[in-house]
Amino acid sequence: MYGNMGKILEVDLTSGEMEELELEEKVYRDYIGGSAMAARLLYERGDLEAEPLDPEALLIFMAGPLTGIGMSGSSRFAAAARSPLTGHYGDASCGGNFGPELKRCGFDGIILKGRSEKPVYLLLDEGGASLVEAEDLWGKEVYEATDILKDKHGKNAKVITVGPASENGVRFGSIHNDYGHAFGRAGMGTVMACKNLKAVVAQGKQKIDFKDEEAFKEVRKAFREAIDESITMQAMGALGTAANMEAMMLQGDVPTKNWSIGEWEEGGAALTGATLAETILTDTATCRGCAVGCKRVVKVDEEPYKVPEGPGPEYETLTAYGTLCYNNNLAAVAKANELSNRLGVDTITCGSTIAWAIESFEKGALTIEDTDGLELNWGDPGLVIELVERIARKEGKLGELLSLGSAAAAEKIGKGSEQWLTTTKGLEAPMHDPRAFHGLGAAYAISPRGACHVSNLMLFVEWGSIYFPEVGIDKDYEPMSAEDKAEAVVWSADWGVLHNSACWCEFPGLEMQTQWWVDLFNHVAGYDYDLDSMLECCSRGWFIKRCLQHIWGVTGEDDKLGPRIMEPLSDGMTEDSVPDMERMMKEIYELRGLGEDGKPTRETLEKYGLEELAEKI
Amino acid sequence: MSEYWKDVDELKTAFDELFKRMMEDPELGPKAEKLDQIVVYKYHDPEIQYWWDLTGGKKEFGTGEPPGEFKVRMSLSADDAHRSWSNKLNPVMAITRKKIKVDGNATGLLKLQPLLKKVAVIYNGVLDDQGMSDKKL
Repeated sequence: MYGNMGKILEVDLTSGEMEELELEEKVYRDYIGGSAMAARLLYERGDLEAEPLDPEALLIFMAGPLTGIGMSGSSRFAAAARSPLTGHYGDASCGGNFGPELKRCGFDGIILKGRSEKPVYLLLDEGGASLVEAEDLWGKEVYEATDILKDKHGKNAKVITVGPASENGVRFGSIHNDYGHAFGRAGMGTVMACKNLKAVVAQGKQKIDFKDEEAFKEVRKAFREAIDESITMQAMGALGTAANMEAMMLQGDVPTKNWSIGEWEEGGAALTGATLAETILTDTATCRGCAVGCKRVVKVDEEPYKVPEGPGPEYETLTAYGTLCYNNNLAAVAKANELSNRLGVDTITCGSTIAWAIESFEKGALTIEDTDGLELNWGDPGLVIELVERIARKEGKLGELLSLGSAAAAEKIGKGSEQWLTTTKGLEAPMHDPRAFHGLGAAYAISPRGACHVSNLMLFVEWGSIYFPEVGIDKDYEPMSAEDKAEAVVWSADWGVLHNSACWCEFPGLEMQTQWWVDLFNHVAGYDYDLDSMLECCSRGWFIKRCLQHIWGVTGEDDKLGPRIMEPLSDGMTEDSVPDMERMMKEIYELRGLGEDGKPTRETLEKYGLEELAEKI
Repeated sequence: MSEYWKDVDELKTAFDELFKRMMEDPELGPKAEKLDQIVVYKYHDPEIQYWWDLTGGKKEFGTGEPPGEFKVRMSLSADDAHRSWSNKLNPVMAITRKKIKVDGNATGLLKLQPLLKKVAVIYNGVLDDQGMSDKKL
């Protein structure tokens, strides 16, 4: 097999038995790899009745055909499971070093089922796969557990591990690769910890076979030139993912004070990539094979927010722990980020839940009795850090409540607090405001895992950084309008599947041309795609995820934005701007072949060879 | 062949006044000053090169060769410049679609993108005052 390694490791943690699955090449081709393949395997091999944290529930790690091919963006791999945060389909994507190493161990993916009686970790090396006792690792923070495993297996061993938050059953526990790279969203770490699996360690030597290596090198060369010439990639390398935060703040894109105000210039200026570079940056870092180098390495020397040198906050975290909580203290945000890495929580859900809690306290839905005597106030940098710790450790009444995520916490306390939620289908919206980009609102609404900007490239379409006339993405998209958006959202959803299944980082992915994608799949994996057949496989991936949502209880009525995001703002560039969701969803349903109930019609599913799912949804 | 400009003098009349008012504007002036760099706009059809010298607290502009090394140079048609100052051209989109060629680092300049709405108000005022209201977009 080319590109892919041809084997998927299935591990039953209850019995300790392992099996190597060999799927037909057609399955790889039809589902690309990564998250779409993982969704297929969840459907085919999982117990769909199982609750997210039941032993029978599956957790799947899946690399893509392009993982580890030594190009900028090609280090990623996917995780998928029924999410303990949302109750329906969940997935996450992680860069770093582990995905390529998994393939060097000879595997495209790992399917985990069951629950080990005692804590274990999974070791993949030249000796094969084995489960190793990990009682001494249980309870250790991410950095310490990673250090111990690297000391034991060598510094070149690649590690993914969960932290105490996942072990404690926080619903949005993350999985970390080599310290700072994370499967952040949807609680994949919580599922892993529930299986008593602390970590996976990989160290291999196998090589990827290319269908046509010389032709591949031509594409790689052209892509590298595009990366080197791109001003966006230059900015990312110099200033990180928050390179343009000040401008985005003025544009109304940066959520502030739980999405209640439209502009906070001082917040944007204090937290933007340039400020970070001038103050706490000590170095930059990169995922394997990437020339962009957007990762930040930071150090804070002064108390009370002292941070030892290590992975720094990216844009989403700077916003979630910063402007969202009306906190413009960069050192404190770096501290909260470090704590989140060590304890293993998703910073987007955690920051969003904290911001929701502060507003709930301000408006009386949470009382001082509910908060164990803690005053929750806007703009309190120490509070954000304190709450990350309490949530991750489920400490006290407040820590326990917020560890559920904002939607479940609001359901529990009521008193109108659900009006301040930003969740779609249980997942807190990421840090880009659909009131500034209306198509992005529709993208959040139809995303397979709930509000998500990396499952759909609509943000970049409306920003103006994607232009593909060959697939109809060539309009002058007015960001704050529903005009021309439905078609772009549908295409962008497929392109999101492409990125997450290939598995590719969306930032360097912006510099890819459509034909390069086709060529890469063909030269690396021998998929024999043309543009249309490649897009058909992307759509298939989107539909199987959509069907899993329906199987797990999501309906068309859930295709909407959180109530807070639908409230018009009274200041800034996006004053009075609210997406016309009704119009966009109607148009998207028609284009996508969804019925009025939001479910794919039988005819639509037949088009993608998924007719068996018509009975299940 | 320009859709909006009959000659370079006409363009110069409009842009000189626009840049003057921008630099004097109490909101835009300080933001431009913060860039602390030399910016060059190289227009074609008709051909003219403008520079902004925003180094060391200066807020100067002129045509021809810049007074020092530029940090970023944007090359575009004079018509697209007109669209841009009228807030009818998304700069990111124009760069992606190769309507604007960038030499150097444009990160700082892109920070001013959200201010184009305000620039357009000033620009339309300039066009009115210069008897060029028919050019307003």
